[in-house]
Amino acid sequence: MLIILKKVIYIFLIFVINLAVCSYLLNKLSARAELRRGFIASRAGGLGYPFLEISKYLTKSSRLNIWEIFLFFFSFFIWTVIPFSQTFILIKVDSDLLIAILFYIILVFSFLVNASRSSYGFVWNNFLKKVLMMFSVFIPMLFSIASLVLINRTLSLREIVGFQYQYWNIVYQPLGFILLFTSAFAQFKLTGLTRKNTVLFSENSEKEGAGFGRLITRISNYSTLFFLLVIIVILYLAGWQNLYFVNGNIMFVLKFYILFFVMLLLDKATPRLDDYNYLISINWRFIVPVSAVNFILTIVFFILRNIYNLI
Amino acid sequence: MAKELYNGIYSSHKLVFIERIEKNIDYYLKDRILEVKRLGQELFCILSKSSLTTVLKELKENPEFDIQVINSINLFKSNGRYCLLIDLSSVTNNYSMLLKVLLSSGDGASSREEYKEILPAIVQIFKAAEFYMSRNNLMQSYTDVIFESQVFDGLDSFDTFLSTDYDIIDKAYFDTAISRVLPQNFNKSSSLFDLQTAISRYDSSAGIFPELCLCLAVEELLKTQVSRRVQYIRILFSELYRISSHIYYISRIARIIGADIAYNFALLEREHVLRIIETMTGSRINPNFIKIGGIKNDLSQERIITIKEGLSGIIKSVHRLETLLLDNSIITAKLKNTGAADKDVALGCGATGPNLRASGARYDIRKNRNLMFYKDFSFLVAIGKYGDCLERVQIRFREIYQSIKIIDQAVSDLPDEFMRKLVDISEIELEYSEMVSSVECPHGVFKIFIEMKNNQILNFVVLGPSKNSLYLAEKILPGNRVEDVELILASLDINSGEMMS
Repeated sequence: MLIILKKVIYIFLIFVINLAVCSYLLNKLSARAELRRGFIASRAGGLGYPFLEISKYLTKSSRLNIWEIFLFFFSFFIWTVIPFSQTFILIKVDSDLLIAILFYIILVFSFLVNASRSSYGFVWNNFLKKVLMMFSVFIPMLFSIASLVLINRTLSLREIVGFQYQYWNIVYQPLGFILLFTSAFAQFKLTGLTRKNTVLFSENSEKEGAGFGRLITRISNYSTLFFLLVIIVILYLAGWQNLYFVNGNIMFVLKFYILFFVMLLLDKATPRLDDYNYLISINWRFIVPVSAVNFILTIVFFILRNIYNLI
Repeated sequence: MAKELYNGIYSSHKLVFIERIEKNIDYYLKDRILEVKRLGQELFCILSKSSLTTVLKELKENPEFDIQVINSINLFKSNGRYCLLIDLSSVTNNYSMLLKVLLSSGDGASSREEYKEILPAIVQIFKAAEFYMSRNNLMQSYTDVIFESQVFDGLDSFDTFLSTDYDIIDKAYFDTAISRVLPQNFNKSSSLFDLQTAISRYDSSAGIFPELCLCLAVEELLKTQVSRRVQYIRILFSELYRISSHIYYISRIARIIGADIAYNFALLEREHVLRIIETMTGSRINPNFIKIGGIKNDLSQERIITIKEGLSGIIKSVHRLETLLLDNSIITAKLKNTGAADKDVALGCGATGPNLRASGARYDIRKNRNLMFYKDFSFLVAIGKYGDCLERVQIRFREIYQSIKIIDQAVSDLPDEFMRKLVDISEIELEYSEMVSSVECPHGVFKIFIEMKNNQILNFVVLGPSKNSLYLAEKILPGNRVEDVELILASLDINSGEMMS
């Protein structure tokens, strides 16, 4: 029991520290990229900014709704099945990849419902459009994860990391990595942290006032981003595997922040992705077919190797 | 003789052409027109209400006149009598004319009734006149989406009413009733001095153009010959303001698209241009720099060097801005085919300036008229083809490059002349007289009509380009998505300062 409690506290600490560092980096980097000075929350480089932001949310009173409570729980539940090292995991399940993805989908779905709710009632038109936009960019992600599972022949994230002791999965599945990253990037743009996303901060939800509910939404935003980054690192970049003499945990953190940095830069370099037609067209005309081809090639490879023993 | 022709006292070949049209009007419409005269570079006709439709029909159908465009209709009171001021122009024959229609003498209410009676007759000849009719039934019966005036940043002078089929617009209607103060009431019976200081407010992004327009009008009235150096400096500043206004326009487009880097970069660049302007004029938005008969300050050698040094930086960064914005396939995909207006639609709505040129009509009064000393400079008129949002943005970029070219020439060829003393406004003695004057401002052709006596303004009518751009928006919005309304409106560069009820 004590061990589990210790693990919970560790995971919570990791989450909070990451939250502080990432929100600091997000604001500083986006200010630099946009050629402005950035916030002036405090003199010491703005390190107190994340805490100031929390107090900003807490000073306003607003009602919580059921979807925000869902968001709150699932943004923490998701970390129970994700391993941070071979032993550092709360619930040991063999198919934790599936459960993690399921939790993630529920999290995103509650996001969409929460964003479509407004003081004038539920905006069905917006909601359906957002669901279509969001879940169409899920398809390439699922395809590339499926082809990776075929290669590794396991659904356990720890075993997938263990499989990469010699070569990282990015070597076997370079196209899959690019597709998963593209899909994750599109999801980050749509449910993203910056004000550019129209899926979450629509014209209705924007005006409903900040409060504890908004704080939860914000934290869940970060949670989805962390999930996407961690899953890419674990699946393709060998998670906590040592690199020569460098400690695996340090490698994990390094890879996570490099991906975070790249995502932020790409986010700044591209305009808002609210054009429904454009997004749908590039997704269905390019990303989904390529990921399907990648998946089919992997299946062919799998059959030739494991059934006919040709390769 | 040659020198005088060059200095603009005698008319250029374009003005000779206007004289011919004046003679033609005298010949064809002798019985129906009370008076015809030339004001500056425009024609001015006075006629009675009864002969209006026949005159308009003749002007439209006779190939000697070939008027295609009705730019604006204004109701105002002159000498105790209500009049209608109709602004017409011909792009093919390259001239424009004002019709002053005398309504039957009566009070305000009866004249407004008369105005409502006349309008349907005008609409049958020029369809664009329907924009000036009251269309309340349109607003109430079809609308299902309403954007109130505060929703769009910078476009707070009108409400937008849309009728939609899912997210495609069927019909659009703009209600400009929110901007109530008419300039003809606001500036009525003020002194010339007051008007001169306040007129730059009609254009919030390029305040020098209204000033320039007023000064050109009064100088034309007083027959003042302004020195070459002064005109060069005026051209220089108007082009600097054109650059600033166009960069501001680009920043608004970038903000709507969500290109943060381009948005902030554009604002920084505008800051550089405004800094140059500020060092010379002392002000950024309301420069109050151009005076009647001259300018406020002469440019010293040091300041000319500052402009030269600033230009090289501006051209580099504008190029970077263009690369940042238009080399991005997501942005171009969003701009392309959005809000496309072909040449006939744009002409029919009376749009002028870059919006018209993006649709393929070559109409720039810097080239087409004998405006200041623009004939001394070598520059191109940027023309588009399809008239969509992408071309409107591209036209602005190309115009910035041409403006930089003009400034470069003006700075290097600045004549070394003695600047004459300015005209003392308080000592102006004039009989009752009317004057029209127009300049090519960044939004289109900015035109004013004034009636004055001594240094007192009796009437002042602004005939700005933004109303026509708004009418064009009404025409091109159907078929586009509701999401793109803000982008299309911003791409038309509507200036709220000159909008009126």
